[in-house]
Amino acid sequence: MNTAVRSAAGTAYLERLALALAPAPAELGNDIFTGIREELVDLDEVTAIERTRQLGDPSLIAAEALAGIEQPVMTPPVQKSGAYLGFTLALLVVGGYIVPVLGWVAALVLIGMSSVWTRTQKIRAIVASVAGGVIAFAILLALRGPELGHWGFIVFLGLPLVVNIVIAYVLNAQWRARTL
Amino acid sequence: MTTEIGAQLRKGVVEFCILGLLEKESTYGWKLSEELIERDLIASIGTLYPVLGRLRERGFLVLNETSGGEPDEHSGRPRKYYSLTAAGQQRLQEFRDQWHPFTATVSDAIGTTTIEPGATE
Repeated sequence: MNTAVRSAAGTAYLERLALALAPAPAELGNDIFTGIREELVDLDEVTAIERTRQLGDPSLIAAEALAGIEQPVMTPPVQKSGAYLGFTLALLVVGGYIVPVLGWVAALVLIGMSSVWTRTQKIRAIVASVAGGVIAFAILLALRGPELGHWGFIVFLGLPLVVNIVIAYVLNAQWRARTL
Repeated sequence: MTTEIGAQLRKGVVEFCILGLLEKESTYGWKLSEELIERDLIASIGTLYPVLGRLRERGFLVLNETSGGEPDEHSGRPRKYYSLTAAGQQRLQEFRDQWHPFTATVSDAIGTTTIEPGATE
C-alpha cells in the first residue's frame, strides 16, 4: 500500500500547509497535516492539482483552525527553534552525566512542557527514558558484587545513554517531519 | 448580522452534527469535512479539526491510528478513522432529547411572522 505523496503539486501544497500551521498547537497541527496528507497520497499530478484546489488555500485552512481553538496558543518562537530543540535533546542525552539525575529530569520536564511535540509523542519519550533509567538501575542492583559489579556499573552508565540517544533521534525526526 | 446569527447557530450545533454523522459510520477527516461543508455547517476542513480535537479530548471520539475500519473504497489508501465512543453516543442522545423540545419552544416564541422590508410602526 503506497503512502507516498508523489506529485509536485501535493508536495508543494503540504509544504505551504506545514508553514501555515506552525503557530498551531502541535496536536492540532499534526491532526490537520496528516488528515490532509492522506488525501494527497499516491495521486498523479492532475488529480493532485484538482484535490488541492478542492482543499483550498493552506493559509486559510490554518487561519480557520486557529480561530476555532478555544484559547489560541501562540507558541513562543524559541520553543520551535532549532536551538531549543538542540538544547533539550542534548540535555536529555548528557544532562544526567553533567548534573546527576537533575540534568536528566530537567530534560524530561522541558520535553513535557514543550509544544513542539504532540502529547502522545511526549508521553512515549518520557516513559521510554524513565524505563531505561529504571532498568539500568535494576541491572546495577542485580549484578552488584565483586565479580559482576563492574558490568553492572557499565550497564548503569551506558544503557540510559543509548536509550536517550534513540529517543533524541526519534524526537528530532518527529520535529523535522512536522516542520518539513 | 444575518451571517453572524448563522455562524453562532452553526457553532452551537456543529459538534453534535459531527457526532450524528459518526454514529452512522466511522469516517476520515476529509469525508467528514465534505459532508459538513455540503450542509453549510463548516467553512472548510480547517474549521473541523479543532472541533474533532475537543471531542476526542472529552472522550466522545476515538481516532484509529492505522487504517481502522474499512480502507477507503475508492483509493484503498491507509486512513485515520474517527469513531464514536459510548460516551459520544450518550452525549448525542442527551442532545437529541433536548433539541426537539428546544426548537419547538423557540419556534413558538419567535413565531413565523415576517416583517416586510421598509415597514414602520
